[in-house]
Amino acid sequence: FFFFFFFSMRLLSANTIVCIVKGCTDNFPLQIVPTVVEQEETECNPEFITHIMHRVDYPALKRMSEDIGIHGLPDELPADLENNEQLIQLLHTALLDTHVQQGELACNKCGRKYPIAQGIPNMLLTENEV
Amino acid sequence: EIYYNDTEAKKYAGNSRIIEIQTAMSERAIELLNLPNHPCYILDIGCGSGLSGEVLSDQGHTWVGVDISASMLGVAVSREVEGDLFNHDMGQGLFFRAGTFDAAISISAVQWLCNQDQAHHNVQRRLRKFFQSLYKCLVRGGKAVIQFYPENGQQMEMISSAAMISGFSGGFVVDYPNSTKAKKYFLCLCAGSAEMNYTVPAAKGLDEK
Ligand SMILES: [Zn+2]
Repeated sequence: FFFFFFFSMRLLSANTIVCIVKGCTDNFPLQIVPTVVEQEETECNPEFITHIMHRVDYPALKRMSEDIGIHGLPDELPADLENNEQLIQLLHTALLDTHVQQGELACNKCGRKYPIAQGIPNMLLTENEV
Repeated sequence: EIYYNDTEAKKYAGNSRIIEIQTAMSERAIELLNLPNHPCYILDIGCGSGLSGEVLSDQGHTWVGVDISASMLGVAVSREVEGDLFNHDMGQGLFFRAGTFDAAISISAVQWLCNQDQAHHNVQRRLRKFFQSLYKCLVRGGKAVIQFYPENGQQMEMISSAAMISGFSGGFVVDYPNSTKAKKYFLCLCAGSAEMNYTVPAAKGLDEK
């Protein structure tokens, strides 16, 4: 197989992942150690961004964004996010237009590393990790 | 275990009859989700080559797919699907934090959890792990619609009871129950308390042969 990789793990899904190795708890967020990151501009849907920001862990998003070189997110989200077009666009860029192609997700609690190859994180555990 | 290698995945993903059936079942599953009237964040379990995901994208939703077959995910990538993809075995328990998704769908995948050459208790443990983690990663009141081909009544019972023990309410919707060809099973679940009074949607094609 030969593939062109246009889409791969975005920061929105990275913001939802926890380590599931047996006995490892309270490990969110995993750390992204990126080696290849790409930006792909897509149309912003403000309705989706304001909806999903209720779920996103904002401090984790801000830290992950900075880890991969996206700056400018404020320290705290304004209460009236829906009226802040510019910030919504910035959040869209961070959450949905930023793709980690290669690298790994690292658990800071147990040290487990989940490799990301060709845009797809490998979350498969070995038998003794289950 | 990988159920589709590169060759099998290519064959499967290129079969227009399979594509047509999978797409129709995805559309029906999404209809059964009865989603709120805004763009949602949806999990596709056993996303394969991303056929269900494309239906979700067309309807304006954002999705994440997990699949045990790296080959199938490779096909999904080559088809430039819009969802994020993860290589994962659902029987090990999903890896998303609590309350992440508005809803979840699964098309023709969950029966794999029962089909493996594993001890009975192991199958039950994997089913339980899967449903507990699914319950957790849905918002409260979030729906999951799981289409699969049950081998027999015992398997249906085993899968649905694992879901109920994990906190879900709901049950089966059987479309075209009198037709051997068109008959489809959808396990429709709600991740909420009993007070939410979830009733499963109506089946289709009850009078058709
Ligand atoms: Zn860990």
